[in-house]
Amino acid sequence: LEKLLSKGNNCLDAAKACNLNDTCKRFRSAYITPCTSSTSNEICNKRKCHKALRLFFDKVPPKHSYGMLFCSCRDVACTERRRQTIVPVCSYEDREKPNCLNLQESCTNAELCVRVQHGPGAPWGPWGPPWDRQSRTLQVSSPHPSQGAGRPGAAPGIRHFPGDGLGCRLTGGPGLAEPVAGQGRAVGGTVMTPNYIDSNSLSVAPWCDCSNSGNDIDECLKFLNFFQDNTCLSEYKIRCLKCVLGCFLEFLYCLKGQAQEGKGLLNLEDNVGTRSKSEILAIRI
Amino acid sequence: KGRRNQKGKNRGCVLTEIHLNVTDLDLGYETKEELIFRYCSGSCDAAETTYDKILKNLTRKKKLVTDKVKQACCRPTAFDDDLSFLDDNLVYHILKKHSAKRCGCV
Repeated sequence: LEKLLSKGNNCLDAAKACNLNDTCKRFRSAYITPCTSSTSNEICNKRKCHKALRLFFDKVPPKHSYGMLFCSCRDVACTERRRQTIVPVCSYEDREKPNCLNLQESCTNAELCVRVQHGPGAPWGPWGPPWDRQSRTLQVSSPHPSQGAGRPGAAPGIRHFPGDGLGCRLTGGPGLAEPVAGQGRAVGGTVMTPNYIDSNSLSVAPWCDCSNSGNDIDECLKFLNFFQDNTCLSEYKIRCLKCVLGCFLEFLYCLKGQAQEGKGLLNLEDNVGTRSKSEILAIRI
Repeated sequence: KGRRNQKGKNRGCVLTEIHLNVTDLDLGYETKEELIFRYCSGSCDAAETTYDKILKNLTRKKKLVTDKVKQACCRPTAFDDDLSFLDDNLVYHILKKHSAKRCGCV
């Protein structure tokens, strides 16, 4: 037991490791600065904070950035530290909680995270209809994975998950940094920034709720519950941290550039241990 | 051990690093985070410029009004990147110009 206690806090260890790595140290400070500097009448400049967070997740080696975001915890000191990783008071919280569907709309308008359906019969994720609607509106198309997408030379910004027939794309929009060819954006650091809800669980959610949803209440709850009640995210807890990590990466990193591919970044098969491949596909966004 | 200074002279003046707890800095922060602190140390005896040489000569001959004229010192010529950390009360802090990146006799 003593050994366990002295091993202590994984999140603290991750923070220490980050500050001993020059790249991680630099990009960590680069987002802490805008995320903690108050402006004349705001807590911070949210847009600058989000931009710096995206850079952090884009540039810093995953073992450091994920180490801080997905560290496993045994006590509140640790979970609170983990929750503070993205500086939620600036990047996450807001004066009011918008309706999730409105938030989703502003996300898709501002920084497209589009799920592309490749022909009939391709599986849809839990978000189903909204994504379907968006993809129709936006006329997004991309080559089928079997036609070489995801390899060098494929359309920039689109990454494909082999086997599930789905692609994910993110582009810039008004008021946001220009998209870089071949580089996607992590969802962490967008208006859809998810974070840990509290200190006691691994539940995550974006800053929104489903009040005033009207007829769309089911759709809204489906979306919100994807985060809050995702089996992968909650059920396995610590035992399945690797699985949690894998799933979380999917929505934080579904749009990561191809440069990172093949380095085990999204290699769910490695991350989920005993889960079957069909289960893995089912929990993907 | 630290790196040699670029100009080749004053090889005593080098960048050295030490692994510390943030609390070791005694800046009043309560945190368990750590850092690499880099500092400049070593002698700058070999006069670097004619100016330094003249000063030395004048000091020796006691021709200076004040003796407080100092020789070149081994000092940072550039600083490391900022360091940020979360303290025990979950407040973030950022240290700027806290650690050396390059050293020189200035």
